Amino acid sequence: MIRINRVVCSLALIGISCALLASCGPPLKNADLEKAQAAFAEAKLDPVVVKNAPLGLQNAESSLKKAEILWKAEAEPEDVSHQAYLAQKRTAIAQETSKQKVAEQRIEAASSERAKVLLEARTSEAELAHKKTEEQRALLAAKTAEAQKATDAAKAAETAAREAEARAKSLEKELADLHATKSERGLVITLGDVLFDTGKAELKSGSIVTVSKIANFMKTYPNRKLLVEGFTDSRGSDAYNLNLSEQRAYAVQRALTAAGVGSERISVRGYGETFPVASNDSPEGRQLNRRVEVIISDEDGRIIERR
Amino acid sequence: MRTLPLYHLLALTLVASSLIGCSATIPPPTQKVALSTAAIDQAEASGAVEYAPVEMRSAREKLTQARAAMNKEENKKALQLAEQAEVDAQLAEAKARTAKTQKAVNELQESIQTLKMEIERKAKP
Repeated sequence: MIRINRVVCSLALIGISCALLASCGPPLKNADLEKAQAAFAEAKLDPVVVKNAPLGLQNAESSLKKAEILWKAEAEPEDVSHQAYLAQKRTAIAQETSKQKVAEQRIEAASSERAKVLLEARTSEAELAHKKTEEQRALLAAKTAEAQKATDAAKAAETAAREAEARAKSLEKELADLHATKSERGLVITLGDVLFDTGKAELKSGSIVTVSKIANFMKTYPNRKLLVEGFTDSRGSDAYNLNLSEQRAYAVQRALTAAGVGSERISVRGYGETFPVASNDSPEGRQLNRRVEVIISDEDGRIIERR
Repeated sequence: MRTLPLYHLLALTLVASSLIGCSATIPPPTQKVALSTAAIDQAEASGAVEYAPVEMRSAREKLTQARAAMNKEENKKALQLAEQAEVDAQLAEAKARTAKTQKAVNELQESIQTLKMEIERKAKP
């Protein structure tokens, strides 16, 4: 009875120990394997690594599976740890590979950015150069225009000078025609008494040529004015002579007005027998004293009055 | 009661022997050692001594140990050490490549920055 009991008991013990071993499944935990599993799980969750290092992950996974199989088969812990070590390192390699791929992509992006920047730089440089050229062109044009203007001005000045010279020459010629003489008071044209009858204030027809010449001159030089002065010899009373000299001066003014010279441009004076130009003792001298003098003003219309 | 430990022992040895499985004889891992040596050389060539010194040292030490184990005919240990040395060297190489690429990225970005600054300076009249 006791013996049977012992057999039963020992059989039961074997059964229990077997059950114990079976229920333990993979028994002792392996820290290295767990580390490798955690590292691999982390890498597998990273979409960047999954995308960039699929082969590396595959290598790591196969090492990990080997480690797990060994562990499940309850192989020696050092063998499990060895495979786990390989799995962990291969996971790290996959992560590095992924990092490298990312860096390579950055290089590509940076290279194209660099090219873009360079292109922009070249474009802006070209624009700057173009702008500079335009500025220089504008400057050149401005200078050319300025030079042209100077040339034109010089030409105009030359023309003006030539014209002035021509005017001066024609003035000289006209004055010569009028037998004008220069005096400190201006240009003086003396109309002798041959233009008047004795004691009369009417101009003889022979004076018409001289009058029209003066009128033409006045048309050409509209700024100039005239002073007409009448004189007589010493025969006759002073009052008579003064009146006669005035009348003769007015006659000349009328003739000039009739020839087209504005009356406001002509002043008239009668000086009688004063201011003789010759002796009244001889007939020749008296003839010289009976006269009308026409004084032409300067260009500003000024005439110095007799005193 | 005397027979109980006997049965117990028998059962345990049965289980243990099945777990260990075949601890059959392993040939000397000359090929693996050669592969590890090549991996270390390649890693050194890619600048791993500078960029991943820890991994490189580990790889070299394991390779030395693997050779020593092989000499003592501890072939299994030698194989595992050689495998670990290889994987260490591969990781060192990967790290070196990443570091170098990253360095190139930094330099390129720096040059772009410099270029941009220069352009800005030039653009200003």
